[in-house]
Amino acid sequence: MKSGKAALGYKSALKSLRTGKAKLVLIASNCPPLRKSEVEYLAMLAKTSVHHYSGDNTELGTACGKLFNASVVSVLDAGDSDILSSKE
Amino acid sequence: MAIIKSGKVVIILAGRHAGKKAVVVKNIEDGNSDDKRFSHCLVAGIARGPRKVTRGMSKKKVEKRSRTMKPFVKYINVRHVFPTRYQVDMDLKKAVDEADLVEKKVEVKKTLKKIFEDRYLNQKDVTSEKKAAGSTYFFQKLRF
Repeated sequence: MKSGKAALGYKSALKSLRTGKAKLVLIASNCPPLRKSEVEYLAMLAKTSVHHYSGDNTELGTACGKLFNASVVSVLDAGDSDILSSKE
Repeated sequence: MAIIKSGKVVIILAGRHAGKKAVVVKNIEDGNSDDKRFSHCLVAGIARGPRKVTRGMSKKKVEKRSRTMKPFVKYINVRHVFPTRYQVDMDLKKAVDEADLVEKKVEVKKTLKKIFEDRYLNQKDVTSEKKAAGSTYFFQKLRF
């Protein structure tokens, strides 16, 4: 997460999906099912891939280098990482 | 590549028309410079759908009950709208002219009512399957 941009959090993920800026959406394992379905549906409409992260929201937040939890993370710009290309 | 495009069926999530379905007429990304500085869209929806119709009713009664739709037109913040995968191919841009909305909103709603009613009564005429599914979905009340 050194280079590149990501939007952490449900609201900002929805915003990025609505504008079409999201390239990939990560959903934590303990995300409430209604919210998970909602994000998946919007990602389907936006033709954005969804990855179900195998870890809960605390782990996802830590993985992003933050001190808070994040149930939904949306990758806006990969930067140097190969997260988007390795998804293919 | 935004999700909310004109012709899409959306569900209104907030306000007086929460739970009603609408069609996006125009999407204004990044808002107006003066009062609405957020991305919003102009939608045309059904405030009150057509009355239920059963098999035993006469043709005249069916038509009368199908013409009881009440449309609405609204500028609504994109956050208060939930897009669906359905699309409707009604030509609403001509009907809902933005200049008219300031003064003659009643006229706009009257033309809308006519368009909606015609589409509702002639749902079989719509050709492609995808568009037919959109019209069917649009006129069905969202149950919650």
